[in-house]
Amino acid sequence: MKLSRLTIPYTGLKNLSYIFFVLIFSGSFSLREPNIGSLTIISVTVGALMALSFLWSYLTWKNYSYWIDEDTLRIKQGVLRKQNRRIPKKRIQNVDIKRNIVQRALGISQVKLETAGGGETEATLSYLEFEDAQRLRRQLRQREKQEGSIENENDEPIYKISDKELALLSLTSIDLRQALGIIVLFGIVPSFFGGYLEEAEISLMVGTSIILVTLTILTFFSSIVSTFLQYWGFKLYKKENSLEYERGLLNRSEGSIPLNKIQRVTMEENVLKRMIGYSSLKIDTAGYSPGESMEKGSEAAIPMAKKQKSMNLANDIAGIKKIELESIGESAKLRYTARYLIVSTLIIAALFQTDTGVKLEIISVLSLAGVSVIAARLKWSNKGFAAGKNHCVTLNGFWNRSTNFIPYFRVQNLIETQSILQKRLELASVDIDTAGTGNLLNKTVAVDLEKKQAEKFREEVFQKFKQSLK
Amino acid sequence: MDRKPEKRITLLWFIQASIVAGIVSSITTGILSVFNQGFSANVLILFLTIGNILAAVHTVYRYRSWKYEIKKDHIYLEHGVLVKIKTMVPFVRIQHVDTQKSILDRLLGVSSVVVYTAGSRGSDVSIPGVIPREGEDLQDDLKNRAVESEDRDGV
Repeated sequence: MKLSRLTIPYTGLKNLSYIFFVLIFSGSFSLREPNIGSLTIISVTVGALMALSFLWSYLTWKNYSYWIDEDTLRIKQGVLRKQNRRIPKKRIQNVDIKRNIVQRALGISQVKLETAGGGETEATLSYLEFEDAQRLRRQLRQREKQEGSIENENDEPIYKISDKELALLSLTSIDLRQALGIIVLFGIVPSFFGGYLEEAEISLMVGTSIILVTLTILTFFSSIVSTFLQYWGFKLYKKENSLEYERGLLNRSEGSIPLNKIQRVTMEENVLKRMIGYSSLKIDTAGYSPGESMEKGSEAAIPMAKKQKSMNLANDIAGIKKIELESIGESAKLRYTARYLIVSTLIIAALFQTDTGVKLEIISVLSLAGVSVIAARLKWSNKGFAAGKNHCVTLNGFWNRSTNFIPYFRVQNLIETQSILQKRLELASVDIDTAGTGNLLNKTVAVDLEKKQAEKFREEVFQKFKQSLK
Repeated sequence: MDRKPEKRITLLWFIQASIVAGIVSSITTGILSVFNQGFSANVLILFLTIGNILAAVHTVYRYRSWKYEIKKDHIYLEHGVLVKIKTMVPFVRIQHVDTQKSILDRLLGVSSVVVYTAGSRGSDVSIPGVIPREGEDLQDDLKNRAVESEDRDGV
């Protein structure tokens, strides 16, 4: 099979636009005094570049072909360096089809394939006719030797974002921590510039306030708009053995992930979502995981739904049942309180040292202590873990609370860690390593359990993992 | 049955720790000499002595903390001085097993056995200070156990 013919002019023009960018940049110097000679040189160069660019696009297109050979996707490509690739169908994790607004007008689309291992996309086919892209996706999704089976094409999505959900999703996409940061800045900035403000007749304070407020509003606004555009018209279908989603207002994306490749399901509820009783679901495969990049983050998930609905969908998708979580070790509260107290003391000490006019009043010290205790308490109560029937569960985070569900048969390693500080309080953490969590910032960890709890949890997860293999 | 790395691995660990101590001491002395406008050899010697004592203590604890065991269905490793780490690697999840020898390893006549899984920290599972012949036996043993359960890599 060949790529779409429209690929030639599209990539030709795209390459050219990069070249022109450079040309205009350099041309702006030489064209200050235009004369016949320089104009001829420029038009000849431009003409030659255009020809080269289109020739290259043509050659790339000419030398590119793909086909499905039994259970393997074969790709032959390369103008100067030939490449011959075979990707077994059963190794493919996710298939995504992306179309930006120009590509939509031309009716072409980009197909991206993910396999396990390696952070990068395994293969990108640019560009296919939209119908061909969809056909390829269907063929790749079909299990071995099932070509004949007829797909039920017009079944109902299991989830479709409603206008209300989209609006709420966009509005709650902002991170409250940013707002909190701004408030703190408001508190500190004037005291820093206290001396100068009097001389500048307060205008500096007004100035910084305006900048801070504008920045906050801009950040929030862009986050709201981009979320809105990204999730407009989100739909999720459950097919025989895969999940399929489509979404996007200007740039459309659609894709599928095989149900038997799910490594982890994460329920995310930030503070705002919790207040209105909503949550979102994300799905990790070994191909990619949330947090890897902004765009990849939340593919094939439930962006926004009432908590109960999310739970039902999680059950539908991965057999996840609601489960009572166990609290982490009591002494962890002590640990967090101490941590916050130390941090706030250091900040106060630093401000005091730099002579910013911050006065050490007993009331402010006491209130900081109070805040530390409350914050520690909140941090503690937003952590938990459980070894359920089919999944082990960990809960973490107050601002961005996420509950991770890992099916036992996905466990790769179990790692129990205990730092010196944890040892004092007889705490330990259990890290559940799967193939999906390639990102070290995005691990699944049950943090600060009592030592005995941690040992029991690790043993229990291991036993259930063994059972799951049978 | 618990196993421990060969005792001579401590020499290698001490050299590593000592090098780190040396670097840190030099940097600290450097910074101090800029502040005090003058280099003092005594300060460097003092730092180096403290650093090497710490390195020696660390090595002793590091060796004490290390143990591993090939259990019925998984490898169990325990190590770490400041952060104690206990790792369980099920045989079914082993992708492949390497034995490695650095130059110092070769001088000491030991090797490391490295076990890879599909997990994100698979290559963290490394058993240092194994006698090469035993290492190869261990490698074969683990490889066989892994093969028994092929196609169950959980990916």
